Amino acid sequence: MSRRLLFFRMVYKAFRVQPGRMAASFAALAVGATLASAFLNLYFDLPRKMTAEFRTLGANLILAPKGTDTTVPQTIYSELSEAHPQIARLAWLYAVGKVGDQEAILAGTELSRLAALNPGWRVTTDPDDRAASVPIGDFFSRPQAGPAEPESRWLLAGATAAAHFGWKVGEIVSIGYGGKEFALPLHGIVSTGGSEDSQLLLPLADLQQITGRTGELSLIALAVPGAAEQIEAVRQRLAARWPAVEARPLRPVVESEARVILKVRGLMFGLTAIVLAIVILSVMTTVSGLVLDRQRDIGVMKSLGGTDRAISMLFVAETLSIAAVAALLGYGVGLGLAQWAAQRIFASALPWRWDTLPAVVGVTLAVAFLAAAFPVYRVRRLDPTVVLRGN
Amino acid sequence: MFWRLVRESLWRPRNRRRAAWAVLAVTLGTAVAAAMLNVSLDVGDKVGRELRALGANVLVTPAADSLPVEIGGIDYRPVSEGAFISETALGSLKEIFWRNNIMAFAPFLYVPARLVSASGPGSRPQEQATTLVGTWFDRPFVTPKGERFRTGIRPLNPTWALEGNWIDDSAPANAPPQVLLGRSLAEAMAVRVGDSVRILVGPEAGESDVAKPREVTAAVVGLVSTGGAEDRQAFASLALVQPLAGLPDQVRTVQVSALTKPEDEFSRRDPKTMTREEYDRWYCSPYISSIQHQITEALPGTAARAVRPVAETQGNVLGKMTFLMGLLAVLALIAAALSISSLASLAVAERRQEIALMKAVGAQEWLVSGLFLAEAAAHGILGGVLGFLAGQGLARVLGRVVFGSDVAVNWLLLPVMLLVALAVTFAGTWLPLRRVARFQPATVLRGE
Repeated sequence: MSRRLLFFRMVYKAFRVQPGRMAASFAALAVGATLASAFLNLYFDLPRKMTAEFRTLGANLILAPKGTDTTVPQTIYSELSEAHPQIARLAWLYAVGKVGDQEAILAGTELSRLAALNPGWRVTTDPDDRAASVPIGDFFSRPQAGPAEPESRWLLAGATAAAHFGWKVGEIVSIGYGGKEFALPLHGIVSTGGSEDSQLLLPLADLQQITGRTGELSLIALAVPGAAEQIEAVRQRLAARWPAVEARPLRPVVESEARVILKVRGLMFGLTAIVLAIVILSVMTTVSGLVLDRQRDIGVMKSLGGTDRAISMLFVAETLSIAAVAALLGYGVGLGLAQWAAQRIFASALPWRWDTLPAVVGVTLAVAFLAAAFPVYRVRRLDPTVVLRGN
Repeated sequence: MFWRLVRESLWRPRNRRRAAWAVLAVTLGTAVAAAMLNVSLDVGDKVGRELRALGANVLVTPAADSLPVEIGGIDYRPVSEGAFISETALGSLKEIFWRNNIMAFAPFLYVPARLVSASGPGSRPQEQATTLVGTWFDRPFVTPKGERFRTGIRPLNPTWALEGNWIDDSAPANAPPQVLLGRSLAEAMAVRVGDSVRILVGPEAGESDVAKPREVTAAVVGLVSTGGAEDRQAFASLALVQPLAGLPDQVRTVQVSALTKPEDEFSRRDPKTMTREEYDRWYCSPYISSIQHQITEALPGTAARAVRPVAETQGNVLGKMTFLMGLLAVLALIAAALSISSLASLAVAERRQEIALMKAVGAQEWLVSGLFLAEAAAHGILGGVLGFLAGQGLARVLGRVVFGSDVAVNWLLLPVMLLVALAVTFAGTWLPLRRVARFQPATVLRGE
């Protein structure tokens, strides 16, 4: 039998003859790899998931008139939709209208796009039950809720405004602007928790026509996906392309988002490091202990003429082969755990990242190697006669 | 004899090193678990404070008000319309049940005004119609109970960027008037920090002969930029704006920033349908709805509503962070338990021959087990206490580095951690003991 064959045979036999002992090593390594994989997978994707949570705040970048201008030309809005179709955007035009003899803000916007920027808004369509409301996204996805034909004029009233005027959904309400009266059907009452609660929302084109301000906007609200750096990059690009308008980030939104993300990242980093350290400690003690347990085998091998080198190689090969399988299994289980947590917490899946796999396998193999190397170092000094005598 | 054996095994020089290792393992494991638990218990509070940067989450308005003419949080109604809240009554905001959760608040009075820049050499005076916002900036404030507190828009909106200086609203009443301009407004008027502007409040010249516009010349001490509608407004201290508007002691709205607990099924219920106990529980939990309720109790004639986008985001992020940290703490606990018990079982396995010897000279099974368990208890308790302290240190370091503030020490965790450390060490010792007990002493001693 060649030396090489003997070597493989001994590694193989180690698994066959004492499966229990190997299983303990394997379990320790697999648990370690699982934790490492779960933490690393979550760590890399968590900031992005948290950023998404801030989208309930609405816009984070505003295009507003610059200097003494009071309006933004609508051409910019259409150019913007062509240049950056991926950015959620909403055009607004404000005018002070009258209901009876009371002033009210008329806000012209693209009603069907409201949901993209303000997913938290709720709409009531039931005239009798004010409490029954649906998210604004559902309101626009239901065909019967929208206007029968796109041309027809209609209105959404803010909750405060509707309560103030005593309006009910389905009524035809009358709005004054510039001395003229316009009758519009009220399609829904929108509750936003912000200034829009006291506004009357109507289609942008209608308001432009009513006010005679065709092609004019008061501001464009944008929700740029991503972190503070990406928002700043978009802001610079917009500012360079349209110098006539002012692009400004909404500081409270952008900054608090950046703060929280930074903290989440720091916290996850600290915790991942701590957990990895304890996992490494636990795996090393378990594996080392199991190798030390086999002093007698080593004594036999030594007395049969095994060199220190061959014996060390044997143990390292044994441990590493367990570790490789444990790492793969742990990676899979850990990824599953992270997926479950992501689904449970954020209701969205983690994207698969290739770089966590080598990281987990690398860490597991390195830990296994260290865990085997330490007792093997002690093995070299072992005197076979002493061990075999049993003291 | 039993105690002597225990003492021996703990303190004999040969065993001291082994004992030290065992204690060290328990210490490390407990430290990690204690640090994780501490951080996860405190993370809600810490992240809640970070999320205050979003600004106010409760808005207080007069209950019987006309319809606000409002865009982006700025009210454009003339001062003759609508209702107001009394400024002096605001102190009672710090008297509600959850007063310590009211982190900051600021009153606002919006006055339509015209700003005229001074004519310099080679430049014509620029006139701009805007809204003059009277508010508190960073006002020292003593509650009726004698607590000192600072509040205003600076603590309320920590993300507002300022060029120049804030207005000092604790300055005496006869100090020269000061104003902050929104950045876009200042650019439109070509005004810089250090210039002065005339502020006119009242009807346009010639529009009415009865009321003359009130006027004040103020120094521009700073330019503020927020990205929102504030960039086109002018800000001055409330004490300056109220006389200009002819509204002493009146404010239009109050913005409140409160630390709240994320909404859940219970908090979404209507308090009117709750039983007595449920109502008390709701009242005594810092839900945004109960804080709103307490604010309207403290300020009669007002309506408090949640600024929903802000409140919802805060609730979402907080809830998710707390759950995540709890999950990670459980994982860390498992890892720590594994490491402690694996070390404990290793210690027993190493001493197989000792056990066999004891049995060979006639020791009962329970005596051997008792000996090892007593030893394990000593390791567990010592390691648990040390680990708890080390864990506090670790949590502190983490809190300092990540949040820049200490994580609160939770002493309730000490008995819990001790019990966990003991249980885990016992489990780690017990399992190998059972295995060893099955061996014949003779076989073990012979060395097989």
